[in-house]
Amino acid sequence: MENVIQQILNGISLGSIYALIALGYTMVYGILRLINFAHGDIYMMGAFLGYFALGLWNFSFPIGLLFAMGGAAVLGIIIERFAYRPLRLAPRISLLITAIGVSFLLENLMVLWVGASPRPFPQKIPLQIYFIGDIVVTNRQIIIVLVSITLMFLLQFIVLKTKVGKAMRAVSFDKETALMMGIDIDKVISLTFAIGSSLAAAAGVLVGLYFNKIDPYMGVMPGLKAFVAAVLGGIGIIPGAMLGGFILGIAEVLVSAFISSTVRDAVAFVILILILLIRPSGILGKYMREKV
Amino acid sequence: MLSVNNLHVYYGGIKALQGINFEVKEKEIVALIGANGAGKTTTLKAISRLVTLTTGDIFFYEINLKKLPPHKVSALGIAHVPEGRRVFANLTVLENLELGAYLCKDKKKIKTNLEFVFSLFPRLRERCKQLAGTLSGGEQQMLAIGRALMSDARLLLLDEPSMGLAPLLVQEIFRVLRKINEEGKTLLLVEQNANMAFSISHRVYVLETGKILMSGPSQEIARNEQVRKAYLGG
Repeated sequence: MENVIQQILNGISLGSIYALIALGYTMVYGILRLINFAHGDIYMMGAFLGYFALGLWNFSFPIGLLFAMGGAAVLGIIIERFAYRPLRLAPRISLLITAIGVSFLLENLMVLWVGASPRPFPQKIPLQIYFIGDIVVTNRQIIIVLVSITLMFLLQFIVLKTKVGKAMRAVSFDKETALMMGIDIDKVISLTFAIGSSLAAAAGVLVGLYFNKIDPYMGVMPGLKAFVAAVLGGIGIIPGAMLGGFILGIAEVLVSAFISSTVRDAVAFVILILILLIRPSGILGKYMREKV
Repeated sequence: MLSVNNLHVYYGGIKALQGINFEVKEKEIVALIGANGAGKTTTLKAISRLVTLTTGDIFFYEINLKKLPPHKVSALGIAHVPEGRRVFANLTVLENLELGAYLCKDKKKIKTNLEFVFSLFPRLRERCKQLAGTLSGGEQQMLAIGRALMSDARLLLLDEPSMGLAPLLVQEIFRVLRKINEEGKTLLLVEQNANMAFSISHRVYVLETGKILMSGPSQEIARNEQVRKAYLGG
């Protein structure tokens, strides 16, 4: 029993990482109907920005985290501006292929720049281990979960309670009518990319802290899994991405603990197949009837 | 207030508007009537800059709208009530109204406008917290008009406000439109319901396949033999 609780706790910390990445997928999908396959690589870029900030320039952990989030936000805005915006009126498949292209571009630029071999992530926070009965919790796990949940609350606040959040929801529902309200949809889309990218960067830094290793291809698998998490929760739905992330993280850890760790990566894709067969709109997804 | 000069709009090879001219004066209600595909909606969308003008100019006072990006039109004081209402179904009624006042920074003015909208449509006050998607068609139309009023616009573009509504509701909507006009707003109205359009408007333009067929004071046009046959059922 302790073992199950232990694994669930581990799953929650992994799940909060997936949830943070999944939020960016779901927000961009909500507003552009685009699966931004470069999103996993923004998470990777965020990890490297954190690596430079913490290791090279010796910032403290919170400042390094904020630096990585800010840098990734700028990167997200640039990618949207130059790769996606010119294709706003193009067929959606062009946009998707472009996203894959941006993904390869980021990965290979980083290989060119820092090399393909993994690097140790600067460990600013000394590891502390707490025992609750037989259950082990580390301070890093606690930081991961706390930072993620804080960011998620912040995001929910922005989307639900602020004027710009209202504009984001309006643009995601109906761009033409949003224009009639005087909403500058280009700005709203830029902001969406900025927020989504900064959340991914936070996940990147937290993963560096947790697994202690980063490399230019580190975004591929978590990117795909976070995409599954977003679909699982209901793509386009923000609480869905969080829920999907946690479910996926816990499922993955449980499977690798009690079945076999060699199939841990398969879990996400089995879940994807099942959700597409059983409930394609996702757990929280629903079809709203439209009145005409 | 508004003058449209030699406006052409083509969708690819389709000529939706082929050189139309008209004007709207302050505090007027002007109706554009015509059959499906005559170019009524396109005209309103051209004013809102939601479609690209092929040639021609649209002046709002002395400002040429031709070069303006679509999100800047609302700031001038033009509000569009689109065809099919297009309320933000995923937002509450209140949030929809607040979005109407997106560019307004004066909190007091927003409050006054909100009270004005609620006085016109008390039903919206009751349903404030409800998602707009759960409203009935008539209530959604009220919300769409209310949302446009929130922007403090001087000119309202109304695209088929009577579409799909029960006759009683249509009368209710038109009663409110008349009241809005009496409050000093100018209305440019597109309608299929020609009877209603003639009864409310001061002047009418009749559109046919992208051209203006005739124009004049509503009562005069309503007596025209050709118009009676085509639009008023003999």
